[in-house]
Amino acid sequence: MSIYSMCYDSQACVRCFTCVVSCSVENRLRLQRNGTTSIETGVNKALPQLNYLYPIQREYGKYPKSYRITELHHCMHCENAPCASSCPSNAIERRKGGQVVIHQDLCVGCRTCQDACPFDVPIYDQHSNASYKCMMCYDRVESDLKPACVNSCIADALISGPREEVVAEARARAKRYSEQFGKEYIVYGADKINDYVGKAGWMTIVSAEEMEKYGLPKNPMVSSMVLRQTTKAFGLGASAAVALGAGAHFLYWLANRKDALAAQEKEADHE
Amino acid sequence: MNKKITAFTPFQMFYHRSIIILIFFFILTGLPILSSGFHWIAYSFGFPFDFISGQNGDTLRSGIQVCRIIHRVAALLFFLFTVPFIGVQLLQINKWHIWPESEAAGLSGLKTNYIDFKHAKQGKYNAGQKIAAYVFIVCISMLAFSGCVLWFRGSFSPATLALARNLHDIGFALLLPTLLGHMYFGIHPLNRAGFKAMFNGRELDEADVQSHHPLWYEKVKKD
Repeated sequence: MSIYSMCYDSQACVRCFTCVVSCSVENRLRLQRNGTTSIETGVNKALPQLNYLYPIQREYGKYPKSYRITELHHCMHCENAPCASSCPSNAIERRKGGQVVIHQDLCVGCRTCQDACPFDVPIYDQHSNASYKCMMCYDRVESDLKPACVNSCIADALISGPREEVVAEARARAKRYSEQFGKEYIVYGADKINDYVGKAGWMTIVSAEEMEKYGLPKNPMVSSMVLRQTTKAFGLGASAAVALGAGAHFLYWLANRKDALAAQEKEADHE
Repeated sequence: MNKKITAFTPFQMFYHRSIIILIFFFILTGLPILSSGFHWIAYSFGFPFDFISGQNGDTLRSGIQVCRIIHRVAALLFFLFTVPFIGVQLLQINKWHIWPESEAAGLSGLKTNYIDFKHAKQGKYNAGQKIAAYVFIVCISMLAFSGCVLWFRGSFSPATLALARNLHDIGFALLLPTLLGHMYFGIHPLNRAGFKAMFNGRELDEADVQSHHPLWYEKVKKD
């Protein structure tokens, strides 16, 4: 199976947030489908951890020249998935199709994935002691359906499919916008963003100058997690060096023990 | 007649013994959380746990969860033993033997002791032991304070949390090699008298102290 990717077109989006609603609905239905809970419980409880997709509005500039930018906040399904590589219980899986999935039945609720995510995505639920995030509807995709949000989009602003097709379509759109609006549009995540995250499985078409304001950092990285890797390597190296040194010293002592003991006795006699 | 010198108080010996057991469990249960290379430890906790509890869950998940609980129980016991120990030790801080001594041989004394197998001019502890003591005090404090932050992570800001995570990692990465060195020299036949003094409470011969630890001997005589 080739890599399955998604792209959000922030220019075509009409901000109706049908995707947000259908995401929440799908996740509640999924609870029933999985046999986790009844449909009544699923719709009666707030279950905020199931809202994998939600808008974040930020205001920039000073009134009256201020303007607002709405970010559609979601998991980027990173190629290198730092959440998955730092999960102590291997609860986070990157599927063959590229979807990064938290399996709640394997999750211990330590929230390391939250700390490792440079986009602040995983949500922790105290009741179930597990973390939740978008799974790109991998169950639907693997059954030849589109993800729920893509399925419900009225403006064709969410597209999904095999990665090559999505990237080609997204680049064509970005090129058209660049020509039409006279400023550069990019496809965030189509190419490698950095070593920490790699490419993004969920790309975004956004104007280059508004990228950071939109909530898409140029260099998404959690320095404490990078330092953690370095520290681990150092700890392992230093411990191995001490163990080897101790072994070598013990052999040295064995070889010289008799001489040393003889010398000590001599010293004692002399005294 | 051979006079005897007491090296460690019963409380120091008890604390040392407790901390050995606790550190063993801290490291054993911390390693599988730190690195997937040690997941076998989690499995060896998780398998009996699943068997006894009759859960049909994931063994690794149960194992990691058991490790996290043991880590916290060990932390509680650590504070229970350490707070009174620090209190008692601080009362006699000017009598500690880990402060620098101007007449001591310093790092070159380590060569005399461990390469030439002779006795350097030193106090109760040589330079290596003093450095190890500083590393232990600093690293264990780092681990203890950052551990509290990580345990009650809901009460702290993300920046504090990231700092605590790094302090916990760095503290352990420094502690582990130092601990290995400490253990090696502690159980080495060269240190037989010291080992017995720490674990069996055996007193040291005054003559031995005079030849092995001349500066300490002077101190004892002065008191």
